[in-house]
Amino acid sequence: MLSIDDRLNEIIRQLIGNGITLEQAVEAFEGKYIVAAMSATDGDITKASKALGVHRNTLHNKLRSQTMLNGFAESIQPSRRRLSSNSVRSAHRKSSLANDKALDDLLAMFVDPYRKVG
Amino acid sequence: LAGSQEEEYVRDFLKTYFEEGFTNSTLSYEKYKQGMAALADLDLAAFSAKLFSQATSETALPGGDVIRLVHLRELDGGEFPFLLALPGRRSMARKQRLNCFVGHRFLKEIEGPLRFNLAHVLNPHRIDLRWSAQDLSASDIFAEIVEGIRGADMCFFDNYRVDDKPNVYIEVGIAYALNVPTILTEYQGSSVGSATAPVPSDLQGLFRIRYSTYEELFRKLYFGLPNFVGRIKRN
Repeated sequence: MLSIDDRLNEIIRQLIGNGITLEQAVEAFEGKYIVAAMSATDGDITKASKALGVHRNTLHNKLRSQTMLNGFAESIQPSRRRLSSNSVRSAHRKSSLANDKALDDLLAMFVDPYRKVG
Repeated sequence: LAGSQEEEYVRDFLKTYFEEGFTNSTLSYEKYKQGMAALADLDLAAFSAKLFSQATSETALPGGDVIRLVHLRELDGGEFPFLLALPGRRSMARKQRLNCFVGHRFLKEIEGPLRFNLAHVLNPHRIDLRWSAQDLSASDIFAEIVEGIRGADMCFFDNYRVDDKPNVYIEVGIAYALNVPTILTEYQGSSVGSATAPVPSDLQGLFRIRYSTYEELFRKLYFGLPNFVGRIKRN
């Protein structure tokens, strides 16, 4: 049976082979680690932050990042979605709003020249 | 149109707008680049579906501007969708009304769709249309036409099917002589009919639009309108 080190080394070799940078690997690992802790505590941030050894505000901020939320949404079981379903909805809403804002800006560019017509 | 076609239509319309705007100097290079980049990135599916599905076919933007979808008429009797950019009430209130004298070949199949399309596209921008020889009971139609053109802020003439009755060129000549800013649209031929004879060379130098379909004509007209009206105001 492979040790944790061997399994990690194998994963790292695959990541490097796929062109994943150190920053991307750290981010992904951190995300999965947090997701696992959140999953184990049924989405309880206070318990998860204690298990991870970070302040709950730090964990809360990290959970706000969309990458993290997507990872969480993918990993967690449907029955354990107590926190993540709201967070994911929020992330989708943010993404939708960003699209709406960009769309408004685009359409404003279309309207602008016609203010001078007439 | 199906959902994906609606989105494709909106994307193509706006793409043509940015390209034409950049080409005719309505839009700076930065705006053009910004617009094209946004078009490449944005998901337009929901917006397009909303626009095509609404009974009013209008979408209000923050600040009160409105995007309106209208269906214009094509040379072959069909229809095509068209987007109008309508500034909010405050901008509209500041607009001055412009009179546009319109001349074209008087055939039922031209009169109907051309006037319908012009009214949809120009009226919302406070450009009032006056049709050539609108008052057919006038005792002196020629004098009416001259006065109509003289009193207009701008003219629009179309040469579709004028080969055997080129009266419209007389009107173009009058507008030219009276120095009234003029848009001359020239039919280049399509599946509907063969090209109209070339515009007389003496009348060149006007704002000319060559087209094969009304969709092409009205996009070029609409996208060139801010620049054209800007020139009128400067003069």
